[in-house]
Amino acid sequence: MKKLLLPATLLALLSLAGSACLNKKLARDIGALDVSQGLNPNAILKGVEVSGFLAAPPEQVFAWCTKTANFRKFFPGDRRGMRPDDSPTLAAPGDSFALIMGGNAGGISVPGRMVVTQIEPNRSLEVFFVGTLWVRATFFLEPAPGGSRITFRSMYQWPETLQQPPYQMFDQAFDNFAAWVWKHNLTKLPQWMGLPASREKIETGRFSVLCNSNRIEQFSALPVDAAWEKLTRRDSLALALAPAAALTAGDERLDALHKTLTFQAPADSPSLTGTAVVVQALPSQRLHASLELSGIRGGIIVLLTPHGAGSRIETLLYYELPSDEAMPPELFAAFAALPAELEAFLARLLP
Amino acid sequence: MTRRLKSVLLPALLAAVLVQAAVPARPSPALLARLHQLFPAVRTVALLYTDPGSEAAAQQAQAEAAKLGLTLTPVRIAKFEAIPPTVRSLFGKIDALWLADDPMLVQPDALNYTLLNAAQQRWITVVPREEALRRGGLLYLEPDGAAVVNAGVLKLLKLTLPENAGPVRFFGETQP
Repeated sequence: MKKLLLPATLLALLSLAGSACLNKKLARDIGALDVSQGLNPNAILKGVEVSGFLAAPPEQVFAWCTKTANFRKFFPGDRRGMRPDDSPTLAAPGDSFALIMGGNAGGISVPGRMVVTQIEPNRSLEVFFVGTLWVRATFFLEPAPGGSRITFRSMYQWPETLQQPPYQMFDQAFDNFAAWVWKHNLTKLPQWMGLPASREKIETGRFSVLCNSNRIEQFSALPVDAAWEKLTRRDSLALALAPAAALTAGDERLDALHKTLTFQAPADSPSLTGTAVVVQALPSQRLHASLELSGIRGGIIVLLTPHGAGSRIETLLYYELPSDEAMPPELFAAFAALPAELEAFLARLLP
Repeated sequence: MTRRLKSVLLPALLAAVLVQAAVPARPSPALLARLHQLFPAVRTVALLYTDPGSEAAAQQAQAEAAKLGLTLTPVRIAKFEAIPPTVRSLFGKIDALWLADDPMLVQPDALNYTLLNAAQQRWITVVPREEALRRGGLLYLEPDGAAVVNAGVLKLLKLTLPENAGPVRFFGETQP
């Protein structure tokens, strides 16, 4: 038995070391992967939810959390500090900061940008991280006796191309990592804010959401610059998503961070109502906007690449489906018709 | 429990079980014929199921469908994560989707996903339970062939029923 123990131990240690080296290499590969080569978001979003009590009113908690330097503490892997183009506060849709998700903690390192997509002062803040990995994180605040109840809800999504070997191990690894990070955050938050530690137990839960997506590929005689100019007009995106929409507010062009759009369907129209917030804009290359369409969260990505004298346009529309309740018939009908209407609109816009 | 009550209760319970069990989980020849009668343009059907023990029944349904001129392809889904790629793999290949009454497939989120994609692909969908019509299914067939059609989805797909459709009950607020 003793003769076997030493070799077995050495073998186990070598296996662990080998796995660690392999994981780090794969982690670097994932961070460097260019997702423009494949727009297939995974249909199953994994999520983590943690909630706890803080001995401070919602207004105080919200003010602390929305200082970017403070909010960065929720992502312990990136210790670089504020960057010159980071928004100092997270006060409006489009405010953003650079982030390395994971920061090599657990061997995962994904560079990207965290962008505010929805904000309701003193109640909720939603941010969207766009990189190889997508993360949508929302925190909710509500008054509670003696302070506030804070809930973090974080959903993440690897591109489907990363669900195949040899990357599929990161799905489970990141699942565990995300749960640990958010529980750690909520445990540390009183200390960061100079508040007494909470005696209440932090509640944690996990969930998954099915996400549908529609991909459209088309070719246009327009060169990429001309196609970009047409696509990023605010009425283009609104009409692409809701043909009967009337614009209610928004920037003239949706071509950079901080650009937003709100459109509303007429009362008797089955068309969608929505908001769009740009989360990534690489001129004449890629536009990614977070969307809310009649209460359904999702996004749209448009990739432009030169194709001869014209351009190839790849569009991905993705959206989270209800987990339990059925979609109302008019909403179901609108989403059922959306891909065909979007394709037809883009074909007219970009001949 | 009195003997009289037992004589009433037990048969009632047995009947209830039998009625429940009579809900078809796999397309029978009669139900396939009913589908063909209601939607004569349908030629290719995918049968989604999860229970590995149903493979023989699925293959039998395939053979029966061929007699009606239908190409029925059984497609087994082994785990929940396989639902999205499996549904997407059927794009452009089928006219209709028949959902077996398997617990994984009739989960609310699975139904929401499958039926929305089906509507986007303009598939005829045959759902295993009438309540699934509420999530966007088009057709529910009772064991005796009685048909319940979702009027809203019928309109969405711009379909009309043939004159010889036979008795049809409509689900939904508007009648076509």
